Amino acid sequence: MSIPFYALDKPGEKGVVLGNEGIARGVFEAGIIVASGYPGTPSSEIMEALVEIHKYHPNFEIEWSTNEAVGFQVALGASMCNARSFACMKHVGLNVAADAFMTATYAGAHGGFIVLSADDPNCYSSQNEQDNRYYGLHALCPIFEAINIQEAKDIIKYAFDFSEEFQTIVMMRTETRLNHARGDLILGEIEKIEGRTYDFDKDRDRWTFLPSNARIQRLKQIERINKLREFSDKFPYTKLDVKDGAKIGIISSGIPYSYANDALLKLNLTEKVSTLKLGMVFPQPEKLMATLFENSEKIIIIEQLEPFLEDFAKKLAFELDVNIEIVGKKYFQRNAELTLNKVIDGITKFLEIPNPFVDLPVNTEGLHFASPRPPVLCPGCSHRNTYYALKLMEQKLGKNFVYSSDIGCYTLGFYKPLEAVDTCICMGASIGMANGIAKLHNGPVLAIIGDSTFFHTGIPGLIDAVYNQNNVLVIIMDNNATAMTGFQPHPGTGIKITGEPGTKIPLESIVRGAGIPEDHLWIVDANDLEQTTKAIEEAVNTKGPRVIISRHPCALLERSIHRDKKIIPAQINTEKCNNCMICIKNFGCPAITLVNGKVSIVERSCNGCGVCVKICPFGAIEQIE
Amino acid sequence: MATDIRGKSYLKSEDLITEKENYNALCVGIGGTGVIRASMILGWSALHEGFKVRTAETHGMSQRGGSVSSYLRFGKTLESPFMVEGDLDVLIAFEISECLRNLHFANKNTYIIASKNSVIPPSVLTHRSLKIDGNKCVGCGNCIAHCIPNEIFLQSRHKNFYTLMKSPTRVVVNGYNRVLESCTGCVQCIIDKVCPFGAIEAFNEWEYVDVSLIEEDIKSVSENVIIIDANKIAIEAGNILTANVVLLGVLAGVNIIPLSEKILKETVKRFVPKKALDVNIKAFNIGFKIGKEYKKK
Repeated sequence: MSIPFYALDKPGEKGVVLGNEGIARGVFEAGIIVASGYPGTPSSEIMEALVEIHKYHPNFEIEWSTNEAVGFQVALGASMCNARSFACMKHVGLNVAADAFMTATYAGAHGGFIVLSADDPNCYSSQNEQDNRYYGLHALCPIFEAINIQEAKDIIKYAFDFSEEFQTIVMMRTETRLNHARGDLILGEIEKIEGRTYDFDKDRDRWTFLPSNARIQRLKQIERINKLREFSDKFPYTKLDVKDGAKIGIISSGIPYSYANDALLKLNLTEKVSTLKLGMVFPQPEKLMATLFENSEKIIIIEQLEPFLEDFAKKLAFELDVNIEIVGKKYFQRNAELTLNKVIDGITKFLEIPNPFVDLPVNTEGLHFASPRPPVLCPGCSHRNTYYALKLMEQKLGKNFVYSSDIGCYTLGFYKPLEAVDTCICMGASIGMANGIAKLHNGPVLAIIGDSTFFHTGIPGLIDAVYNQNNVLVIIMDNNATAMTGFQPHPGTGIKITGEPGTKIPLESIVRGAGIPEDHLWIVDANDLEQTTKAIEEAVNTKGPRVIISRHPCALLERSIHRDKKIIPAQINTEKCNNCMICIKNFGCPAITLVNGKVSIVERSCNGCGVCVKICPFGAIEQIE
Repeated sequence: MATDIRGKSYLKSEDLITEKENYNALCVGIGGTGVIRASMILGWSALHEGFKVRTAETHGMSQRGGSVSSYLRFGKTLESPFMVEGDLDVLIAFEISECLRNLHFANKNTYIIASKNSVIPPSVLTHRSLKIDGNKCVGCGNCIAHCIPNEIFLQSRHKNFYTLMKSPTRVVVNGYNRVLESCTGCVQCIIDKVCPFGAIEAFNEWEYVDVSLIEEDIKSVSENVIIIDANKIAIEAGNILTANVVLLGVLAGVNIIPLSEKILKETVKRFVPKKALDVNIKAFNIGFKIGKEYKKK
């Protein structure tokens, strides 16, 4: 493969990149020394792009950490050694890292330290849509946002200088529409940081948060944020644009600003509205806002999710005793994400002018309804096979299982036909919740967790189950990858982010180490129905904490690694098939479908796992070499 | 107060639609079939033509098998990765029902280039069942007697251990209608006309409508519709995987957005594996010819 555009050492070169690739480029240009993180949509490709860059410029350290807390701590440790460090996570990942984050911001950064939080308005691939700007406010940590990919690259590069100048941790907040957008990018210079030694800064009072030290650091933190508040007015990526004679002001930042920009273009109002675009959304620029207030009669704040800027602007107006109308969430919904249509709608309602885009140019009412196409478990997915075995045994044993599930591809087991997910809250919660349910619920309680999630935060739950003798059956669905986010390796694979061998930590060694006795542990091939159903039967009839490791590599991963491995697709023997549809309705493999009303298997899709061959009551599914 | 803005409209909608500093395209299809790649090819082409480029992608949790949309914008003054609904120059669909799903982005001038390719979502089949008209059903039980899955259930207890059937098929009264519990939606009872009173109807919670009906819908929206069997053409060109390049060829042929054939073709060359280069160029050229011929009419 040729070198990717974003890894080129050609300042001034122009190309189209994914937002995450642009961000990775910025981190690289700043002279990164240590980068760490845990995969999570929409942030995963940042680390993947960084490791791509690492192939050609291997002069920095990079790792997938076990979870976001560890990832944050790794970067923090590197910052203590005066290194430029970067911790990358999705918005809910910061919840995991929050314990360290809330205190680390007292001491701030030594080497430039950026933590990236990728928010996900509209929960495209997340369990919630929390607004992580409040983390910055909560931890008194400055937050940067960018309106497009070029600015994201530039601002994150600048953030490292900023972090070192003010000795502060910087939070870069992005959102799906920036991470998973593509746009043009001009490459910049790759900074060479010379003459720096990376020894641990033995400032023990600063890094040891005993109460006596913490109180002092707390004062320093407040002093620091006050300095930043003043600097916010001079922040290079914050821009106040007061238009002559304009009575209306818009305050916005990040992707919502790009919508505001295009909404004004579409409404032909660009010259009639003043704008304040924030590059640093916390602490906010008070003087610039005050200037905008002086030059406007009405202010509308366009922001994603919560009224973060709006609350501040209203507070500031109150403090300044300015009597102008300031609105925001009155015109924009708090849930889901903004779109250009929604922003135009909000602005026109605010200005009480007609919205020319309120009606679609075409009438779609009479059109047919396009059937939904939700994501499904892939053909040959080992998770489906484990779920199928569980559902089968649930029926055979005449018991109702509780499925306490977790975050990963296997959460898709919620949908028809498997319907084998009863709970899913956050990473690692499956075992924890199962422990609580098992204390009360009469009947088998199952905790379903993936391999990467088990390493991430599942282990304490299992130890809790063993320690407190909770009656739970933990099923670790081991597909040998962090599959949902793009097959990233994890401790159980024994492969590092760079593709180099690391030390492999087998799941069973952790399970045994946590105190699960040998007769309470079953290790099965998920694609072997016979083995799996037998293990489930035994495990359900056993008491106490017990574990089944249901193992088979992710079908997509297996296919991409063993390209030359011959796949023997299953096929329907039309003479035996009665078209009863049990394979479709109760198993639900997407490779099995109807062609002209007859059940058939799409050869191109079939992964040859062979499970459907077993389930057909007529023996009509065959795998012929 | 801002009286110059209040109560007075600066806007004339015809001004807005004809603003041509910026162009909008939308590529839709199914995950893992090259939708994003096609949009990348368009994006790089637009960059080479000297435009600002913005794209946004929406897809569900899994990249495989779910709906994928890639919004592509390029031009001089734009910033937002989204366009206004209905303000599309081109809609390129790699699957026909995905085209139907996104028609609200089109207007009567939008060029719609769609592949006839139809892929029934697995969820349509798993959501299919039967409905029994309570007024017609007399409870004779003829349907149950002829129900294949039911027969399997009764036998499978001692036959195939691995066949999953929760319960025998049975009629359950559900308000006015009656439903068949454990029905697999195989509709054999309808095909064989086992109900003497005609009380059984197929019930599609999510129906995948007939391709010809979808085509009619698409043609009712826009005056510029090109629907081709891109998969068939791709197979003729040498590889079914070149179906998306066929559609890009059509786009170059109709020449309605300022991306030249030369630049598009050059970009395609950069994005396809070396050994598949000839097949892709062949596919592109076939598409280009179709587009050009359409334009002549």
